[in-house]
Amino acid sequence: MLTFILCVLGLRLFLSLAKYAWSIVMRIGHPRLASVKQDFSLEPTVSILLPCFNEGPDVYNSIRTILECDYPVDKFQVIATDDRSRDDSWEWLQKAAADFPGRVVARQNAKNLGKSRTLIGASHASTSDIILVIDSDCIFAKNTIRELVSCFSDPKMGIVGGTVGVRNPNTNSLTQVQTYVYFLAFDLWKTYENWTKSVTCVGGYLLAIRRDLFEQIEPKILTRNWFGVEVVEGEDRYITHHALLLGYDTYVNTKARCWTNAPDKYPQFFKQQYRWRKSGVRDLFMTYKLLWSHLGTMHPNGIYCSTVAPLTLLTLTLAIFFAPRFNPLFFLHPVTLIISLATGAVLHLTISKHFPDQKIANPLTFAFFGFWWIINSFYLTVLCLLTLDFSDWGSRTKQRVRRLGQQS
Amino acid sequence: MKLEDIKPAINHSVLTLYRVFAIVSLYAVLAAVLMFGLGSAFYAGSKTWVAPVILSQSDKDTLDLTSKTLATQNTVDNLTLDMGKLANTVAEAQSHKAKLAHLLPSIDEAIEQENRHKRATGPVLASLDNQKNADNTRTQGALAKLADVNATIDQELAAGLITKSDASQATMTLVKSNGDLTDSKIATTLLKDTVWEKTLPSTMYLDTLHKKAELESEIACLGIVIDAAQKQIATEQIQVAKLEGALTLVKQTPLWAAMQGARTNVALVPYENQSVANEGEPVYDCYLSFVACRRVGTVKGSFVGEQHTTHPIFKTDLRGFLVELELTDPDSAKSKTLFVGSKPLLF
Repeated sequence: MLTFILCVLGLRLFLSLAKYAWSIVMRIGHPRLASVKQDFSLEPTVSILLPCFNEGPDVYNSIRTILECDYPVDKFQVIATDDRSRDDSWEWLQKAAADFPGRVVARQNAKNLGKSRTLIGASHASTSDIILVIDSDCIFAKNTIRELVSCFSDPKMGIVGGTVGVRNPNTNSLTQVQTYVYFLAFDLWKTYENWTKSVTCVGGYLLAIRRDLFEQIEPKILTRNWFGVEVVEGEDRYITHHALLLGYDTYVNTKARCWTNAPDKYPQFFKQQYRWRKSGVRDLFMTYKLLWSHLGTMHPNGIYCSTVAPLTLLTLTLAIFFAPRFNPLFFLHPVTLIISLATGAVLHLTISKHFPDQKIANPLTFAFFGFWWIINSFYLTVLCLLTLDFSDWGSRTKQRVRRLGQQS
Repeated sequence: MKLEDIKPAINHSVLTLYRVFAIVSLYAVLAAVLMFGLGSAFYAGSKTWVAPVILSQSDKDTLDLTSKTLATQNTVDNLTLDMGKLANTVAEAQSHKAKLAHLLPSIDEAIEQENRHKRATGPVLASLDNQKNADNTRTQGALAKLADVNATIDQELAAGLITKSDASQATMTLVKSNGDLTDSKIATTLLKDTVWEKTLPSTMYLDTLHKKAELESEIACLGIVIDAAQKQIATEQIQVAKLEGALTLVKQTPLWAAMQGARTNVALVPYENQSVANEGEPVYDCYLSFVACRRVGTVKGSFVGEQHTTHPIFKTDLRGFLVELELTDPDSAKSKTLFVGSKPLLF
């Protein structure tokens, strides 16, 4: 059993390292390989859908920064929807609507519906060519909308996303670790998938989609369920996956950037990671359920990214789960530690050089990243596998008590 | 009935089963993690646990030790045999050497006596030789004068001055004198030989010296052989002592006990827990790792020598020594850990 586990772990490590290595080669040596033709003269109308739940004043900042984008003001508007927050988010949305008249539409659901249905409700209130979904706790670069929209010159392009950085990289060790994670997951990893225009998950923090494509997928989103239990999280991965299944390209423009506040408390962080992991597990099941539909429609690289990589993780997880004699401390093997530290050193140097705003004060926190990777990759997956009948807003469910005008 | 009609019921059933499975699994995982955490903490702090090991004749280690022990015993036997042979060789060589050494004074004494005799008779014979030579010279001079007498005899016979009988008698006397002179010369020559033998080293004497040197050489060689054999005996004695010491140690190990009997219950005592592993201490086995324990025997004795095994919990290398257990419940030897001295948690 131990040999089997080590083989799968080795395979997974090899695949991951190979992917990152190829991404680095493309980013440094052949950037054209991982990019699409952009047309900056394109100026379609854009509806920015901002679903909001318990975000407080952050939502106002998000709206403000997206409105400051370098894009014709008559071509885009923000449709912000509050999903019955328990804090003062709704007041902040109303304030934004008042401060930016005609550019912000503030809506509130009659009852808590979850993110997916909130998005769909907001989309019904818009008529634009492009729907841009953003997270309510992000701030955006001025060129974000233009960079995203310019990639839609090819009619086959269905979804375009951007990258997300951390606004608070040095708050504590947790945010420092997440800075690495965000760079790996939302930037470097996407480069590999950009290579074949088959990004398997365009993050919901910045997801631009053609309206007609969104409308095609909408019924599927509304009927998403797990043996009758409605699924409300992971809609970004779900939408992206279905766009690929419908034959569209998906792409992440690394020049379109936004920043978010990474969770700085462990419960928040755990819920976020748990939500992300669960969406990945759901997606893996869906991939295998619809495997034949992928063939001939999705690029082989997309199929590989959706099937093999997560499968090695799942196999390894199950192997560990069912190995009663297995030693859980085997991760402390010197080879694992050396690979982890070497990867961390390369990552730190890369981030420090190319993303100075994301520079980490204490690079040794990468050791903590290794620890979290173990928890996240193996034990969290088990938890996700056993709680598929449950879904919610994840890290934002905690009730807040701050009200508009109060000090934070 | 359409599939769509029964789908909610199917979903409900699957969901119920899934939830039951999930709850059980999650609690199982939680319990396993908690147990692992508690177990790790307990074994990190406990000073009474030991790791039981069952040894039998068919174990790989036992078979290996059997093979090595037999090889060692065989070496000891061979060395003992060799030492016996060497001791015999030494005894024989020493006896031979003693006999040869005993000959040497006799040879020396014989040579000395012979030399002494030569020194005594040599000069006398030399003097007699000189005297004999002088006598011969005088006899020869006298005979030279008798040559004229011989001619005179013939003339006097022809002249009838003497009778034939007188002439014959005179001639016979003359011949006899010449013969005596010749005999005297021969005796002189023989005497010279004798004098030469008595005054100069003879080949026989040299031959005797050569034999003496050979004898001395043989004695020296025997000494070397005896010395080498004695040294080899000493070395082999040390080697045998070491091997027998090792065998004695092996006979104190649990594997030896396993070699002699069908099954031996032992336990590895980590060094940090060695204070509890005394003879006669009670041994406890627990139904649930380290709770719900019962007495299952006593510590019979300890074995010398360090042993290694894998830590039953942390899977790291564990160092310690073995103790023999006398178990009333032999199945306890199959437990992951046992406790010595007292129950780990008093129940």
